[in-house]
Amino acid sequence: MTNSDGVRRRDFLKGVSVAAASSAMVVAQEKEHGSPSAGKKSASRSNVKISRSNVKISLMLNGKKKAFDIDSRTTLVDLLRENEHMTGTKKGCDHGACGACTVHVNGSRVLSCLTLAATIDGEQVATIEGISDGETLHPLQNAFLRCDAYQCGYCTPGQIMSGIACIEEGHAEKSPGEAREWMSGNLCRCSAYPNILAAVRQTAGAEPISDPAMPMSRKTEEAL
Amino acid sequence: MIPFIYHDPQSLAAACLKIDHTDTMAIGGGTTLIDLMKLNVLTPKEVIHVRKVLPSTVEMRDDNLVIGAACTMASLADHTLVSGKLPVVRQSLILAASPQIRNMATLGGNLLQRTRSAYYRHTDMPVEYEGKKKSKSENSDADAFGDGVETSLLALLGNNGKLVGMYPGDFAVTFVAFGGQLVLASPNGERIVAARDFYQTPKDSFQYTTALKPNEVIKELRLPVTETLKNSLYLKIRDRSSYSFALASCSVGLQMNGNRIVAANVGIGGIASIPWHSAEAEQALVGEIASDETFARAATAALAEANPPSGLEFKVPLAKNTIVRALQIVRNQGPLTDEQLWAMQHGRG
Repeated sequence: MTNSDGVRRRDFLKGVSVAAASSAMVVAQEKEHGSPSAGKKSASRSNVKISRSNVKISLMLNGKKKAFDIDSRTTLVDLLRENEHMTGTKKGCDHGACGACTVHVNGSRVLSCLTLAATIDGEQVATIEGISDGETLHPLQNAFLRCDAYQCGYCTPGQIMSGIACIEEGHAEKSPGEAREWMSGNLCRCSAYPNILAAVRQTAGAEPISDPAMPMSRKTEEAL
Repeated sequence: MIPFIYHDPQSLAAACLKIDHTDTMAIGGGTTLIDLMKLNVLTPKEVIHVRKVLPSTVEMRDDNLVIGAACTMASLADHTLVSGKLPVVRQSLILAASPQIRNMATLGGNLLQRTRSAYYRHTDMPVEYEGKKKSKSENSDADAFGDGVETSLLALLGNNGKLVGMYPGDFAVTFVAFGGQLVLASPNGERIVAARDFYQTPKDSFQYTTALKPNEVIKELRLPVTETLKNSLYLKIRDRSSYSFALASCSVGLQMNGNRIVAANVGIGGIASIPWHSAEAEQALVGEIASDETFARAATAALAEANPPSGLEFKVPLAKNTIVRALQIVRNQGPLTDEQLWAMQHGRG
């Protein structure tokens, strides 16, 4: 997206977020140096100078080995989005309450916002960018399109990564209740839940491939 | 987040030497620590990764289920020694958090989960409410216990008459109810502490403290596999069907001889400052006929000491009914399958 001055939206946002991060650092340092308002929780930290500390890690990221020299505070979602510029993984709440940042580590679905990148040195990470085969979409990606399993789309990468794991774990094909339970870590504020459930269950083979919005008589025919 | 130095120690001994739980903290899965560090509630100068130096195996040893502290909630719930065999253990794991969080969270860290109260999580929340005592004057609205305070995640039991944070976890309720033990490792060797002694109700603090000393790390969890553990249930009542902290919950197990109760275990979650073991409820059950009247007496005994802050009065009958209903399910149906559990959680006719 480019405006008339040729500034891309993402570049503009990058500039803004650098400014915001810098001011946050100033606040943090003021707190450390023990102003009275810093309160009891940071009292023990007064007069202690703490500077940034880096760690070196490597990851198998979507099958490719990558090395990183990162601030020790870097979470996996920030590493993906800020260091690798892989913005498919979304940052929602940043506190483990929404599931938008779901990725796979060593084949298991986890929350990248609560994963300290340093703790997964040498491990395998799969993101939404790595699940299609070139232009050929993953079956669950196709199912999300077919079932209209989103409105704004922000939770979708997390829903799909969670859904793939849910199917592999065997929690999608038995009862709809079980599938709902094992997809409950991914919130959708547009409330596309019936469609998400249909996409996951259809991909698991528990329901016939169809568009949930179509009348029953037309479903199978048009889907084929 | 405040900058910190990260360490990946080569051995548990090396990790213990550094960890003091204040300036230098242990990280397992990180699901609590990273969350609270982002809020600047916890501000360690050094973070020690313990997941790789702690055991993560699950095995039977002398009739005890022995769980390595680095075992994840998901691995324990799915383990062949647990799934289909120890219902309350599996249920208090899979009804907690979300699949993603359960894939990350270690059992050692799960036991040490912090309160979710905003007075702890947000450093800008007014601290003058912390430790506010119960008013003597019953008739004055202005002085009511917790009036004007955001009490939703505060404790009714084990609050020592103060406004203190509620322990939010699920598995620990089962762990105290069924007499679990912790193996704590330090450079001086290991010691064993009963889970019921490990958690201490808040005296001068806003939330519970533990028996964990500096340089000590939870290495292993031991849970005696009793008849009650096999005939058990975790019942969790929440605002929504899933992925929510308990409004009230309970871990119960019954050993029956005909219709008479031979042994019982009762733990309560969502209402106390610590994972709550109710010896009073167990006493009211053992030796009695498993009737609804007996269950009601046990529930009343369990909540006898409840001291609800303003707005939480509803939790007293809620917790009582949760206990009665859990006991009825165990008596009438026995252990529930996962399928029955989903039907109960997500039943839509």
